[in-house]
Amino acid sequence: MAERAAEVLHRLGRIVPFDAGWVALRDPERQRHVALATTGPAGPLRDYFGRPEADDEVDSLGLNRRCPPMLASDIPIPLREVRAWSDHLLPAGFRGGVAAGLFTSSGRHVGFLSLLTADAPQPREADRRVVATVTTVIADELDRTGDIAETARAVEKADAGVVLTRGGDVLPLPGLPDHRLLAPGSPILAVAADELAVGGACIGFLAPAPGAAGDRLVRVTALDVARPELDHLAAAVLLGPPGDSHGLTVLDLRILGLLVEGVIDIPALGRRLRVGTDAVARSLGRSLAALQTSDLTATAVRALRGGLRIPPGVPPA
Amino acid sequence: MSAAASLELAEIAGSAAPLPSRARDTLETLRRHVPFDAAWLALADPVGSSYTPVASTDLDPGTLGYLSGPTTAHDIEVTGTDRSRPPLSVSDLPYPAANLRTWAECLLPAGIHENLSVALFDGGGRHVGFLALFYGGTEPPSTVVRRRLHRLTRVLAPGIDPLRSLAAASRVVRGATAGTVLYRYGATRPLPGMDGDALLAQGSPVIALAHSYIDDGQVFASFLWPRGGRHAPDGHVRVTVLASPEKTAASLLGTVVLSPVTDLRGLTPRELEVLGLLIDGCSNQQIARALVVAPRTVAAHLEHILVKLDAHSRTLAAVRAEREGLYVPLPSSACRG
Repeated sequence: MAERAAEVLHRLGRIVPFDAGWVALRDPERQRHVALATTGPAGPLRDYFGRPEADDEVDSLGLNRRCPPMLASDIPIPLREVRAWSDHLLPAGFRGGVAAGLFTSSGRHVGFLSLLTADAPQPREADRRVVATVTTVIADELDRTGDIAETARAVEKADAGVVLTRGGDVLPLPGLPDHRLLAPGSPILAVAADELAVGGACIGFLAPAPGAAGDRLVRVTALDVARPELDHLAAAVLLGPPGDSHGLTVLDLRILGLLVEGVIDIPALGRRLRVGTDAVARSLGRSLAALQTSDLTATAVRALRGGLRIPPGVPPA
Repeated sequence: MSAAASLELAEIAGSAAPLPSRARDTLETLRRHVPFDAAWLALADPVGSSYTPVASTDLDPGTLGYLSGPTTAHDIEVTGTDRSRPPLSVSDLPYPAANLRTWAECLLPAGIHENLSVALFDGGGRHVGFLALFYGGTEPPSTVVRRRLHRLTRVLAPGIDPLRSLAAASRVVRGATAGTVLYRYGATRPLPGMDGDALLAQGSPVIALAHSYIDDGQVFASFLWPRGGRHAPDGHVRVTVLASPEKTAASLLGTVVLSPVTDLRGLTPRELEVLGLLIDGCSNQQIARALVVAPRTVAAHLEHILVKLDAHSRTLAAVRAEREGLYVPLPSSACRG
């Protein structure tokens, strides 16, 4: 990612004059910018974006919205009244610049680009137009959801999928449709996020397919894609075909789900699922046979590894 | 024209589509720039010397079956079309086509009289696949067509490279320090862009275990392995096994990636061994026998393990350890099903 950003600045340097350049990702949930690459004396920009008020000011200048790149000379108030300029850039000797929010072709705001010069007449109107033509390409190149989609495709054959952010927001996963089971706030997303939080890079479980009568299931696979040092993207959550459930019923899979959570007492399992102890015992018998295990501990581990379980947080269809 | 074709083919290679549809699109696009009557695009098996077809056009099932067999693989080797060289036509050979069994038994009877064949290599010189363009006419392919195919050869390999998605999948392992590609029968080959490691060498117990996980149908598995011997004098390393989702290349099973261990929850190497056997479903008695210690020693270890994992039962301890990737498989475990 850093390499790609450095390449972006290198290529820009050949077509637009600037003394210092800065390409950053923006984390909208923590309202902060993380520099991916800089060239020239970019220290003052780094200092500025390290300050808590930076994102507010960038926002009030309109740079968190999709609009043409902004020249320093476009700013409607004197530069000394803008903190970025008064406290950081003017003292460092910068006099001109162009800045742009980086928006992907799908319209997602991923980052921020700033090019500065010591020479006030530059950059000019023509440079603004050049920067305007490349910002979407740059944003697409730095959009991590593309990489996440490729990783997700390589791990699981999915029919639907989304990217889950740290704050619980849901973003599209390029190339895959979304699904109502994966809508913001859905219990399946909550279970996936909770399970990834306790460890492991990849988890899988089953869930009842929506609207289906009987025992139709979908497989949920969640991949930890968090790079907290970079941005707010946390997980890829995918839906796919259930695979072989070894003849286990929804009740069996729910009991396995509770077993994995540490509920091992037969009466307690019966109470949680509102079935008799006989039914629980018979179900466990089926699971031990299906998973070819001889004790509950090995059964729970097998159910966890194979994703053969419906976690207790997953509601009925 | 050639530049446009290169660009179109590179776009297909970089697209999000699954491998078989990328391969089909590759042939369709190629046909618009390098004409042919029929074509066969196949993946090279780096372990055995066989080919797995990924796309073809205008070939009947009998011909397709023959081309995937050992005779064609042998003829490709004999004619040197498994090496990096310009496209070769059967008329370039110093002997008649019928001297090759593939031609005598399959292609000539199917009405194919000419061809252009070329091996496909990636940028690092890895043999990725093989492309054959077939012609019904007896006229050898023109120099123009040969040159055009030659120029496009280099952009064909990335489009059908099954390791590309494996390399993408292995990105899910954070801080990976080494990796390998696993093939059937436990053969391994370097994973592009990753270093190797002695633990990942062919015949190592880690590779044997990874193989058994994939055979069991697991798409993802993660465990710890002691470095420097069973008692982990050099600490532990995390092993992640990822099964290949592309079933196109028959012998390709998946990848095995090593990464540093972050948090062992303060468990000692001995406790990790006990925990491993617990996860395998061993009873205390069985654990005692496996580790050649007294049952009460096992009970004491388990007590510590429950405290360190903050678990109220053996089952919860096992599940928690498995989730956190703290499982150390013991090659001699008697209880693993």
